Order: sequence, then C-alpha cells, then structure tokens
Amino acid sequence: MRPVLEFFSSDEIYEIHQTSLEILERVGMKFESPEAQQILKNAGVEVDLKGVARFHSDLVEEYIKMAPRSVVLRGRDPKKDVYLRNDRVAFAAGTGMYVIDGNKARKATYQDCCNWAKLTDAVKNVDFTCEIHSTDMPSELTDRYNFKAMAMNTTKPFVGSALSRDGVLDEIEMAAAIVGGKEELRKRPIWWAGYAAISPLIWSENACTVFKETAPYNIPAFVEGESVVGGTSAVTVASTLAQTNAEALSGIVYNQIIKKGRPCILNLGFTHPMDMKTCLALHGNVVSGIVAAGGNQLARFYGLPSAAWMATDSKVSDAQCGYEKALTGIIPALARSSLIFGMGQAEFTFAVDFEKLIIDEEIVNQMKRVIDGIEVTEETLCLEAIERVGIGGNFLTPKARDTFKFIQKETTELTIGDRNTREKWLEAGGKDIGEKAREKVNEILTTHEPEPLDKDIIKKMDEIIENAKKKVEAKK
Amino acid sequence: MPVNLEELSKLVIDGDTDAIKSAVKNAINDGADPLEIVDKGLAKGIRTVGEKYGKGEIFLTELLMGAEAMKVGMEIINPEIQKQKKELKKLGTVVIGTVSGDIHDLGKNIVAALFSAHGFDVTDLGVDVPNEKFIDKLKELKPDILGLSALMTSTITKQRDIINTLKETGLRDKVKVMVGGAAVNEDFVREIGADGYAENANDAVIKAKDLLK
Repeated sequence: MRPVLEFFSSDEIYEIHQTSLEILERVGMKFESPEAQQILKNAGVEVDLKGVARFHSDLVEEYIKMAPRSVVLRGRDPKKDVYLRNDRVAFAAGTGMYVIDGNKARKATYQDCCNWAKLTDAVKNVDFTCEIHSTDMPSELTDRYNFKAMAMNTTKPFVGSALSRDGVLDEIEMAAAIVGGKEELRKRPIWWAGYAAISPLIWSENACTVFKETAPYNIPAFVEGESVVGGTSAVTVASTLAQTNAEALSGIVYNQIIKKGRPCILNLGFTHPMDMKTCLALHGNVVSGIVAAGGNQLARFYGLPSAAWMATDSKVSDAQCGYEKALTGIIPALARSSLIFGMGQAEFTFAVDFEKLIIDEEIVNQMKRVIDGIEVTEETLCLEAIERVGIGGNFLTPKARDTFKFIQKETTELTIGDRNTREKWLEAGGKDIGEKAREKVNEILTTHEPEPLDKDIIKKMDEIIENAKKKVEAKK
Repeated sequence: MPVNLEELSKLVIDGDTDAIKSAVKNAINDGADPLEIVDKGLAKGIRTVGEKYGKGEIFLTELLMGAEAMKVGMEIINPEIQKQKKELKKLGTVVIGTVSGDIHDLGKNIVAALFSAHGFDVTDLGVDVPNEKFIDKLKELKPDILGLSALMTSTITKQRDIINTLKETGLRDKVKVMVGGAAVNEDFVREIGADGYAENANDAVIKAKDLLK
C-alpha cells in the first residue's frame, strides 16, 4: 500500500467543510475589486456596499464541483508538463527576493534569476520552477524581466509574479509569443497565475484582476489561503484550516464564475505559523507541515489538487535547515500534496540558497522512496528465494537472482550525501555536504545549457518590455 | 568463424550464467586456445565488472552475478585446460575464514567468491575458526594470503592474536595477512601489524594483487 497520512476522520472533514461554508455565509469575504464585485453580483452572490460578498452554501458547493479534478502545468517543452493529481506528489523550486551567500543574504539580481532558472532546469527532481524576484530592474517592470529570465533558461513549467493589470497582460503576450499565438496559448497555457487571499477574508484587487485576465486562456489558478497562524487566523490548526479553506474556496468560486471549468489548485499549504513571542511569520515549523497535510486532505475531499511548502527558518545551510526541510516536506508528501514547493528555499520564504537546492534534491529522492510505500505481492514476498537461499545463506548470490530486479525500487542511493566509511570519505576529500553541493552548483552553472529560446521570441519579449518601460515613464 | 571473445566478456559482465555455458563450449569447439578464452574473454569480463563496481556504477549483486558467471565458465574451461596440458597463470592461493567467536560470514563469502572469480585458489575455512586451525592450514597449504574476517568489535582482537601467534611461530614473513570486517580500518591494520585490508570485496582483490607484486 502507498501510505496516505490523514489527520482527520471523515466526520471531522465535514465539520471543517461546513464551518468554511458557514464563514462564507455569515461573515463573508471582502472582494476589493469593483469589477469582481459586479461579476459576483451577476452570478447571484449578495455583495454589500463595503464589497463583502456573502455566499450561500449551495452556490459554493455548485461552483466547486465545476473545477476539474486534475490540472496540467505546462512547460515550454511539452515533455516537461506536470500533471497534478491528488494521488501523486510533484516537487517545485522555491522563490524569494534574497540569495543566500555563505552566512549572508544579498538582494537577488536579474542574473540570479537567470541562474536560478538554469539550475532548476538541470536538477532532476524539480518538476516545476519559480522565479526569484530580481531587485536590480525598475520595480514596476520586474515581473516582465523575471518572466523573460525564466522563459529563456528553463523548458520546465514555471511561475512568475504579476504585479499589475498591465504586468499580467504583458506576460500573457510573452507566453503567447512562446507557444505561437493566443489561440495556441488557450490550448497550451504555459505559465500559471497564483494568488493568496489576504487573511482574514479579503481578496485584493490585484488578485481578482490577475485571475480575471488569465481566465480566458485557461491558465491554471493557484488559489491560496495563506494566513499567519495565531495572527491573521486563530491559533488552532483546525480553525486556521476552516478559515483559509473558506478564503480559498471563495477564490475558486470566483474563478469558476469567470470561467467554468478553469483548472484550480486549492492551496492551504502556505500558511505561516506565527512565533507568539517574536511575532515573526515562520515556515520551517512542523505546524506548517500539518496545516498543509490537513489542507491536502480537504483538497482530496473536494477532488482538487493541493500544494504545500518545504521550508526552513534557518539563515544558513545547517542542521536546522536540513531537519526542517525534511520534516515540512515529508509530512505533506505523506499526505499526498499534489505539489510541494520550496526546493532551495531558505530563511523563512524570503530567500533561495543555490546549494540548498542540491541538498533538497537529495531529501526529495529520499521522500519519494517513503511515499512509494511498501509493495506487498507474491513476488515481493520472495518466498521462493527464502527457500532457495535457505538457512544461513545470503541474498546476494544467484539463488536470489529473481529478487535483484527490486534493488533499484526498494533501496535508496545518495547523490550528494555520504554513506561511506571514514576512510573512503577521507579519500574522496573528506568534504561535507555543503561543500559538495557548492561544487555541484558551479558545475551545473558552467556546463548546463538550457534548450535555447528562439531569437525572434526573445526579440518579441524585449519589445514587450520596451513598450512597458515607455508606458511606465509616460505615467511619471 | 573467429571466436568472439568479446561476447564471452559481455556474458560475464551481464552475469548470464546460462548463456555462458554454451558460449564457452562453442569457443572450445571452435578451437580457441582455452587460455585465451580465459584471459581475453572471461577474465577480461570480471575485470570490467570490478571496475564498474569500483566506480559505483553497479550493485553488489551484479558484481556477484559476474563472479558466478565467471565460475560457471571456468568449470567448463578447466577440464579443457588440463586435457591440453596447459596451465593457467596462478594469481595466488588464499586461506580465508571468520575468526573464532564470530559467526558472521556474509562479507567473508563475498570476498572469497570474488577472489575465486579473479583466479585465486581459495580455501574457505568457514566461520568460528579456532586460531590453531588457521595456523595448521597455513603450515599445510602454504598460501600467499591469509584472510581473517571479524565483524564485531569484540572479535577483531582475534585478528591480532593470530598475527601474534604467526610471529611467535616464525610464520609471519611467509604469508600476507589481510583483515576485514566493519570495525577494521587503516589504523587498526597498522596497530595489529597486518598487511592490508579493503573497504569492499572488489578492493580486496585489488589489494591482494598489489601485495603479491
């Protein structure tokens, strides 16, 4: 059986679900966009003068059913497409605005974003990648620059940010240029749009706009409840899930009203448990892991894909970093989160660490073995081999040869860590995992050549950026 | 048709214990020199398997399947070598066993199998071997190498005892002593005055060849 970690009984799932519906009906959800308010009104949702929408339970139930049960995240290379389902776990790179360099963090640059894309393009377990936010470009235009950096340096599906309506429209143009026009983009919507509700219970104008503008192209929507547990949601995990679920459900309803059947991901896996002494929003906390796992179970209840985040609050690539990554990863992985973000993530969710991505690759390899579970069949029980090998024999000889085909699947190997004896380890240079990861990063960045993007497409992207620049300057 | 010795190597590398039988027979029937069959066919295969294992490219089981295919091939070729009154170049003779008080033999068996596959003449004394038995066998068989296996930290001291006995009886210079076991390392080898150890079976073969140069 492949293990599925569940935190709730089916009664408890209903209880949380019903509480979410009750929140949406009794307290409601504020939509800050007048356009969104009108869209909701037209669909029969009651919206008051302050923009608070109160949803009837039956309306929510009706629209949630319209969202498809699996979502495809498409890459520049169709072979890299990621099929999100709630019985399968995919892994994604993290994001941030700082790059960890030794014991220091520095602001990310456009070049860092290019390198990040390149590194994540090369690393096998990254199914899906994220931009890092460059800080050396005009602030209104970073979303376009980052999009270009990602598109040029990876053929995997990726996500960028969209900072304004103009930004999202430009990114749609850029995505269309890559796939060969807007009609093609509808068929192969590379890129996705993700937004989190502002807890408690608000959808920002920008989020509503991004969802609206990307809807005609069927671009998948990551709809997130991302509360600060104890701060913007109650300190209990149950209540946090009920509230963030209400927030995300209302977002999915909004998306389904705009475009029936739009692929949506119900993501309750990005909450930040607050440190109740320092007031910092944490993420390497195991509580994030169990909120995400609970969220995954809720998503399965709706038949929707889910997401989570493997993270650390450590500032350097140390032991804390390793155990927090492994714990916040394995909990949602066992709960069958469809997509776990955060490979290479460090320092809350502010920074990326290139070396850490290589170490996380190893953690993900190990986690994949755990979630594969224990296969019990007549063949895997190997009774005949036990009989042939007999008392006092061993299972490395030809007598057990019919069991050898399971070696690859049943055992694990390390790619960067060390399992050798001290002598062999010293012989190989006596390096710790960080040093080896550093070497690997350098090797990839100097040797890996991502599939180049057509020159005309790059030219088109540059034109889009130039035009955006002119528009921004004209406004000033 | 010239005999394809490359193919024989490949069958060893693949650990194909069935196909290797007919392939060796065919090679003999085709009139190939049995020593060439070994040297340029089977032995070349097992060397390649060893190299692959050393580089971490294959699993231990694949190494041992190679050794098994080698063994099967050699069982067919050996009578032919004798019939033609030729002689295989002997790599050396080995007496191996697990020291007294220790009944772990997984590692020792693997090492013994690999020594055989590479053409050493191996006498395996089994497990829980009393010190005197090692000494008696040394006197009787005069091997080039004595292999002492001990898994546990509580039994590796027996390796030291046996070496001390060798010194006392004037046999120490007559044999190279290799020790093995999870707790053995370079420092321990130096401390007890052994000649060498290896991290794994493949390295043990390489080390033994070095010691006999």
